[in-house]
Amino acid sequence: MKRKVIFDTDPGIDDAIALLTLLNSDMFDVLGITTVAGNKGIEHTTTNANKIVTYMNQSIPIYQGAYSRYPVVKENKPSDHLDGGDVHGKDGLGGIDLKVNPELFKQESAIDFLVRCALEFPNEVEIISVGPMSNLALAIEQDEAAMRQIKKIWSMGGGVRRGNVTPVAEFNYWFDPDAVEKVYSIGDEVPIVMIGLDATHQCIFDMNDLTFMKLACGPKGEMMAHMVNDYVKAYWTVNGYIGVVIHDLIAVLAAMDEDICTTLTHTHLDIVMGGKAHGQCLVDLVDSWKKPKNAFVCMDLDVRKCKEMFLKTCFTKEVMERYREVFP
Amino acid sequence: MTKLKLIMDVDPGIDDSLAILFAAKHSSIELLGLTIASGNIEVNQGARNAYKALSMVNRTDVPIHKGSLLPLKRNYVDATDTHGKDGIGEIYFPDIDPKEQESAIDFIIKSCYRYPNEITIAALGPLSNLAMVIQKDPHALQLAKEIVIMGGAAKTHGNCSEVAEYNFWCDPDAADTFFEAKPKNVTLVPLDVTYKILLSPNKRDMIRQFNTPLSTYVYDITQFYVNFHWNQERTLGCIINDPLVIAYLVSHHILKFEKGSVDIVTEGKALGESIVDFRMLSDRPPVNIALNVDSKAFFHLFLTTIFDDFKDDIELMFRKEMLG
Repeated sequence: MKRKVIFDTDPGIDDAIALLTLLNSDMFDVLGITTVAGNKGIEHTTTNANKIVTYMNQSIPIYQGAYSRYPVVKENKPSDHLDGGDVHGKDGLGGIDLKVNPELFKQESAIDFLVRCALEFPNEVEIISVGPMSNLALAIEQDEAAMRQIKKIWSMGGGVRRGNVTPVAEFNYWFDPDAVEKVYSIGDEVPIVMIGLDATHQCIFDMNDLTFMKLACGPKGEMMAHMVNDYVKAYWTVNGYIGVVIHDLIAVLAAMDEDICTTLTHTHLDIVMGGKAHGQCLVDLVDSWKKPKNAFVCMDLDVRKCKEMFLKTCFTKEVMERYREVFP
Repeated sequence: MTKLKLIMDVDPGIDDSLAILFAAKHSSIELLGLTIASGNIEVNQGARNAYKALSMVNRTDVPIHKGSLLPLKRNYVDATDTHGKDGIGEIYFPDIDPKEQESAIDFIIKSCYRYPNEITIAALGPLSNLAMVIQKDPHALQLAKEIVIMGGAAKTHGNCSEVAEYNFWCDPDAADTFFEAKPKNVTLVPLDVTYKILLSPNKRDMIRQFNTPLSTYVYDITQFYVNFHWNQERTLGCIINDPLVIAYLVSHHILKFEKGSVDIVTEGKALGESIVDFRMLSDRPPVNIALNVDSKAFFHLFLTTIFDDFKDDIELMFRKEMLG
């Protein structure tokens, strides 16, 4: 039986590549895609999710979720939304032109859908969360007992020794720290795997990889390489990398095979709200403070395995073998 | 050769005491004075402990200036759980109060003006005294040649919380005041490097074998520390943070640096955290942040300086690789 999964996302270029990979895997029964505001506003992210599913010629339903941060939505306030700017291009997909299939959009809200799935398939549903955790927090707010029956949460967000929005805070967790606190409050029961910046930054798709994608992976590879094109400049300017980091993809790969996480520490995670360290994760990697454990934090990746899994899943086994020949 | 004019701002403290021995015995350091702040132990006991350390190396000529009794704003929390009730491993030597001197604050300011661009300050405790110097005379510290601080954690975990190191955590407002004042020529020696300075049972026992009053003192004050480290974090031996600053002063190559700007968290769950921005996007001047250390070179220098009479033995032990 295939694993039941919900993909919670704010596409975003790296979300799009993560979603393409998920949809190409035969491991999962994707129950639905829930969208959230983050990299872009909610209309953009919902449309972008649709574009990817439509491109893949699949019929997975899309449920629109939180228009803003968890506390803002909870109190029905107007959005005070700050999005990720133009890092992902003006439309959030690096300017790729894709079609929308209106039939995929569902009336039911992302939050209702999450709770309904949790109730319908207790201890069966996994969530891959690659945007701000607003939808998950709102679902917990609505029915915590139901959400405690989620089987596992894979979260791309946070960082232990590094940030991106500030020196110490990562975008997804910084965007909605109240949601992070809410979600990890059920981490005593629901395993939550955090794939943060410490892990994702180890897997740099360099120009060799991107050129290989463009030349050896067919039209889909060419499209993906095109999509991350704007990223290349950003990573050079900001991080001094020759290549890109595709954060959200790593969460999907970890969900496919947890063994890509070469260190996974069961520990306590807390989040800072307010002040200079706003949005920072506090993670006790050395278990010095003996606080209750609510997170599995990934600090190291098997980078080669990540890349090969990605190529094999998104494209073919032959493409992966070709990659091995070209880059032994 | 002109000697390095040094003021040590300390809160002794076991590792501070070792740093005092180290600086007081090193031939290229001219130790102008010790200034004391409340930190590991409150300032009065700290001054007695400083005097004890100086007396062990016959350097009670060095003046001891007492400074801040309390952090700028926050309630004071000492570190007697780590350093013992007396601050130096509960050895309870007979207390001797050092001679009363002018305040630490006035001494630092006066020294900076007296020797412009010549003074090095080694700040090994909470930055309360230096913050009070800045509040009293914002210009004075700009005249220092270099200010080297043991404090903070850049890319590693803290020792008071996941992210905070004791010296900054004890008086975060002082640390914030210090970095906000944008002093130049600042070097930070954070936990990232001091965690690597492990005085192992092998090294401690060699020190005991020397069997002198000084070696017995060093062995005795570090026993409590060894027990603490084992109980707290299953480290065998003790981490001696502060002497690393002295080693750097006389032998720069022991540390490797990256530049970053530093900001201090003064509230909330990350209290006392040093946020280091290696991209330096703020308007703060770059601070040299030590991220790598040659710990073997450190111990060679540290041991042969303090126990100079046993230099041959120490080198023999290093050659035989018996000091791991």
